[in-house]
Amino acid sequence: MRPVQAEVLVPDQLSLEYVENVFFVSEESRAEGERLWGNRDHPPFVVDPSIFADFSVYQAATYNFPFLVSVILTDEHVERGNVQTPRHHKSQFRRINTRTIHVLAQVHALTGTKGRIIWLPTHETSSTIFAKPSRYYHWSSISIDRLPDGQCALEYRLGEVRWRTLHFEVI
Amino acid sequence: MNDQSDLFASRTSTNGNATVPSVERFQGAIVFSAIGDALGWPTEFLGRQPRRNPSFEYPVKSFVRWTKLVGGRWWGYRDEISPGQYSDDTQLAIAVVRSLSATGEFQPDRFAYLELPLWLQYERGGGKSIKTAARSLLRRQADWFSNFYKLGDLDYRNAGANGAAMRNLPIALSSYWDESRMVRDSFFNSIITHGHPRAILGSMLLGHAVRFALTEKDSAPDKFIDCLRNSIDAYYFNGTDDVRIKNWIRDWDKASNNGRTFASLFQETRQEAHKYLTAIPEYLSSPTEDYYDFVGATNPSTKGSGLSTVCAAIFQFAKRSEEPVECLLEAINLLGSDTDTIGAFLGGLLGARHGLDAIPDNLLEEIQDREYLLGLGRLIRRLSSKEVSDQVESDEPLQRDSALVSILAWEVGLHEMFWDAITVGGKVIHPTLGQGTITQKQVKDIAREGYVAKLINILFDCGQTCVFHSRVENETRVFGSFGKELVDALKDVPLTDKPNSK
Repeated sequence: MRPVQAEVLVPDQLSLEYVENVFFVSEESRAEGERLWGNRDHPPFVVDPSIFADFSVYQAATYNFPFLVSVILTDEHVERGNVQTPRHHKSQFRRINTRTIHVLAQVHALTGTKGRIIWLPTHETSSTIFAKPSRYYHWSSISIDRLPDGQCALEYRLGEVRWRTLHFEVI
Repeated sequence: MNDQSDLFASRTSTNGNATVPSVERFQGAIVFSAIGDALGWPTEFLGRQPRRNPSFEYPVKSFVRWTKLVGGRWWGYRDEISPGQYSDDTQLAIAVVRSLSATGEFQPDRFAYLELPLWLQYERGGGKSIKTAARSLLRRQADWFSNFYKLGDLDYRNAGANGAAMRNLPIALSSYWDESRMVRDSFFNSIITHGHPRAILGSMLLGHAVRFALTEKDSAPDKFIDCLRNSIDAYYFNGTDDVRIKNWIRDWDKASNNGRTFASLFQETRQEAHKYLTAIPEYLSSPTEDYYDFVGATNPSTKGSGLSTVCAAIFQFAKRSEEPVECLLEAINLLGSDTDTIGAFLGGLLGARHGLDAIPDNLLEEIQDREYLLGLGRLIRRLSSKEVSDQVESDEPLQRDSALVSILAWEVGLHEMFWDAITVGGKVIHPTLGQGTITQKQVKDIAREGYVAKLINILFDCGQTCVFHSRVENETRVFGSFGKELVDALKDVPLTDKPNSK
């Protein structure tokens, strides 16, 4: 497989009313699309991974590109043995009862895909390399002392592509 | 059979509490094995008494540039091998590393249905048995635990060469702390391609030897040999509860046309292994060739035997493991033997014993894909030791249909590469190697009219480099394509009901 990008060239511009749907491979990708689009109206943003699968005539889906399936922030400790524990995403952390903020991502990776977590505004970064094509859990954490009060953010990148920005507040 | 246990019964296990060997020893095993392979590859073809001088300096003391004739009279071309480049032994061992689970267990389905068939397109120096087995696994009716292929003279049940053992080092390393798992995974790894006990037992024996080299402080030859002999005495297949093994043995026996059962042949091979191991102490003060001759490692008809080649490496290790470089150089210069594979076995043992410190700088710097190999050593240690990590693979099993579809998707890119629709600098995405960049393209004339051989070098982002090769007819037909098998295998794969599906 080689990476290709489909393009439709039209003279001038195409009104958004002609766009029926915009498809995304995962909920996280859709959410990042929403964030980038802002408050303006847009066509329906739809999550449908099968659109992006190779030879999607087959029910057996394969994806020859890395993507972010999910990512959450939590104040619960994350480690190898509890990655599958159901958790809710938190967007506000109080210093009084939180020492560490944890991030847990689920990734579809290719061999050699680099996953990178960047905490903003401090730009502290942690990265990992995935050894084979598979689904992975990837986690990291930061001491709340290393973040300033107010609005902070986390970026999740695969290779050079930013897949998600999560804003959160430190109080 | 009181002293024997079920093949998969719990035996020695450290339960993860013992001190884990250093990461340098895992890396040393992987890298020194690749070095042994790369050093021994050019000498493999010289023969015991070379008829003409080789194109490189002999005896070999470091990596050399050399030329290998690939294919026969009509299909043949000359492949230029750069210093430090490794062969199929290391390629397949790497593929096995990518087939380890999050806990270091071998995943036979991933190896058999993805890595092995795809390896055919970039293999370097692969043997007939293993290539036949790999191709056979593209058939929908072939399972990894029932790959009883027959093609001309090649018969799975007689496949006793070292193609299984040559890729078993990662399994030995990742299961060093659990002997039972190591034996089981070595068995599973072997029967994907080889059905004769010489291949299977050779593979398991190498696993025990690596385990010893990695964990035992005392390297006295007597203790080493006793340990190996005791280990192979403990195999007992008849009582296994694993239905896959039961069925595999049943099918093996069913295909026997001389009344020979797997159990009886295995027992005979075990005796052969005992004979080879027991003789090691008495040969330690003799020339190495004498032991090689004794085990058949220099006999053209038996020199590729899984058991003989593993015993040759065990002998070298027992003889002079404290002189790792001299030991390896002797093995890769012993003409008439399977120098690259014995070199790979021995390098794995020496690296597991001494770590990276045993490897001379010039060899460490020049070995192909050094950084990737070092990374694989780190990975295996992480998987085997359950050390603190920041990632874990989810436990979703490989879907065979998905594997077939991903190979089909790759076929599109593969054809475009060979049709020159993708040029040097172009990007490709391979199902198991990930994203890569084409770094070189070569076209070689071959004797058959209207055909050329095309070689395409790709550097993958993971750090592995591969040379994909095919013969191409009049810039159209690409030989070695999996198209026909894939169409056949995908015939019964369920389709989606989406009207707009691609």
